[in-house]
Amino acid sequence: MTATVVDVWVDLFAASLVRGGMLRAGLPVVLTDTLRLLPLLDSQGPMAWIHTSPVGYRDHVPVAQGQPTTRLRVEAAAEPAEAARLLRRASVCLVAVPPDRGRAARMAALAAQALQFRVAQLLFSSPDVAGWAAFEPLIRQGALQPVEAGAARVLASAQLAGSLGEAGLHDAERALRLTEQLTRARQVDIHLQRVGDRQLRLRLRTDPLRLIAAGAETLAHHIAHEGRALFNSRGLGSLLLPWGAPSAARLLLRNVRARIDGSEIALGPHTLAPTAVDYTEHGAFLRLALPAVLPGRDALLHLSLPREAVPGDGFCDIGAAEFTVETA
Amino acid sequence: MNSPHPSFAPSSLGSAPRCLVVSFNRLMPADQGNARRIMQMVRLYKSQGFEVDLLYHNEEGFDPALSHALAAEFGRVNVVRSRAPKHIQPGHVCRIVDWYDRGLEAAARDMHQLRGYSVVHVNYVWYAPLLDQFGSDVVKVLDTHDVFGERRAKYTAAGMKPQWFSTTYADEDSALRRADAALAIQKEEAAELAARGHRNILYLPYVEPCVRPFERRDGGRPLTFGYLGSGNDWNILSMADFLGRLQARGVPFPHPIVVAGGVCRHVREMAGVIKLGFVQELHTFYDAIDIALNPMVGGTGLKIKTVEPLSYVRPVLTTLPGAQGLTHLWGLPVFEDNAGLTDYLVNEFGRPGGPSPLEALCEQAASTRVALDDEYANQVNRLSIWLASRV
Repeated sequence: MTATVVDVWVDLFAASLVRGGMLRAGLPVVLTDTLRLLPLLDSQGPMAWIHTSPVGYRDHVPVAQGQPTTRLRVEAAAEPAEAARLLRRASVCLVAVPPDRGRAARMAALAAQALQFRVAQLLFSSPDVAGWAAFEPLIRQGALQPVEAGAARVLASAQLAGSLGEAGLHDAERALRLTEQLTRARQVDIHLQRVGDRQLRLRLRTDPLRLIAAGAETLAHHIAHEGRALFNSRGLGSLLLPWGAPSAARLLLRNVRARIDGSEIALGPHTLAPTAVDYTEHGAFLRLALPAVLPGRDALLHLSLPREAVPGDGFCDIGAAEFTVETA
Repeated sequence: MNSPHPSFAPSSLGSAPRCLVVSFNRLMPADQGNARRIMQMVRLYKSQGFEVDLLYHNEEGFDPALSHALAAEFGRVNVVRSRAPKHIQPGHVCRIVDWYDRGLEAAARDMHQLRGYSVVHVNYVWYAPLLDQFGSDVVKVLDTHDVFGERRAKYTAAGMKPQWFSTTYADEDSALRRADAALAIQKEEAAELAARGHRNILYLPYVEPCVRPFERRDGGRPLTFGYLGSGNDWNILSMADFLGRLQARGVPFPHPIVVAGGVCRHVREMAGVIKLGFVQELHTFYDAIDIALNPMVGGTGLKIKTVEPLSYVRPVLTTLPGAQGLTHLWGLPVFEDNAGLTDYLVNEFGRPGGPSPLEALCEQAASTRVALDDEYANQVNRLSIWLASRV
């Protein structure tokens, strides 16, 4: 089991904590240096992201009976008071330990603030990233305990570690219970299949609005107004992937006016080609085999549609999104 | 002189306290009286050191331009579509439960969880139930904008069909009790609510910042009067009454009367009356006139047409209903009704070439403006002290 799937397990665990009412009052907060998403936790209500590097994009969350609003992402360097305020009010602090030492040092300082407010913490990453060194004092001071997490390194405050049980982070039973609850409550369309002892196959269908990221303010306001996952007027779209793990994606692209087989698609340093494009009355279904998002990289999939596919009088959008991930 | 307002120092974490404003009005551009009142409150909170967020209960449209403008003004904006049924029962009785939209509650709770408000400020009594979504650690302010208990009676007394919201005293009283402070826009309204037993009423008048200082006009054009108003029933009735009385004099009034705004569609054709229609910028109207008129025959709530001209250094001639809530500060002539107003106009301005009281009116307008500013500053100070004692 590789460390690239650790955020899937962190998402499952954190969402189960919130859903089970096992956290103190407050807001789940994620400390990170990259643009990421934890879709299951995100579905459980308000949460905040504190970034130790510039964000550069605006993404959205739906509002019941209303227009989407921007997901709360705070750049700690630009808004230190707001970051401190969020950490003080946090119900749990999830820390994605980065590979960059400088950013890791800044993140460790923020995590130390959360510790002052007795916020439960969970640190996670690949064991070989250089950023861990910056967290050693925090790990000692907070008496963070190692958690069984396969190839990943995970440490947690005693109250969190205690709730994990013998199976550690990779608790398939807990994951199954959670996904049943989420499906029953119609909060998330997720299907989970056990494929091995501690291995799962997850198929997530999510509102693409939760994934679309706008690199420009104008597009963000159009997204807020229309409540759709819009490409910009030149056919450029950026999509946040639900996790950093390798996945199979199926996206419904609507209002495209020509074939899109020749779209330019990139994820980090990878240039991708569709595995298939199916043209239907609903739009074009684009199938992609996505590699793992590299450590220290944003989980942003960039799509550039052929100019002839872009309507002159409106926007293309993503009408549906499905991701299948295996935790093996 | 007024003491400086207490302002809210950043918390121990160095961040400003936050206020959530809930409004169904399209606030940008703030070209309606109620939107301008709300933006007055936004400026007030900001001047006290608050960061202000907006929960827009979308009843007046939403588009990318508005989204952009609101994002520039507010810390965080959530937009919820209005689904309030807004039933009006026989006899024009509106129950707050029928006008309140429970769809706001989830958005308000989520915003509070994300942002942690110190103050929540709702506008209009039928939004008061939303205050219950916030705990006792949040200061709850209700801006009434108007007294809505049996408001219908004012319409029927004027021979008009009741419009918009009117509720029972019991419903309004119940809503007012949900707030820590209910703001009355007029002194008389504050007194009325206090007389009904409410002890949480604060009076805060509506005053706009002065656009330019008072100075003498250059005299380069004929003396011009003006009226600006929307096409609501009170304005239509008031202008019809005023122009009817002026026409009944049988002698043409020798000065032009410029009319602007939606009311133009309902104003009779008459010699000397110039209809401008909708004006994009208020100063284009006020630059074109020398004396503003507000010949109100009745009405409720904010009397923006009476105070606004003073921001553009124009004296105002109005009736008692037009000066309601302002009489204790008003240094300009106020007339019992439009008969008195037209008498004054004809007697003082009806003779071409006769001496004009314009200069005296300008001096009275300037002193009235000072009195309004002082009153506003005093009441802001009271509100600030009250807030400081709770936040």
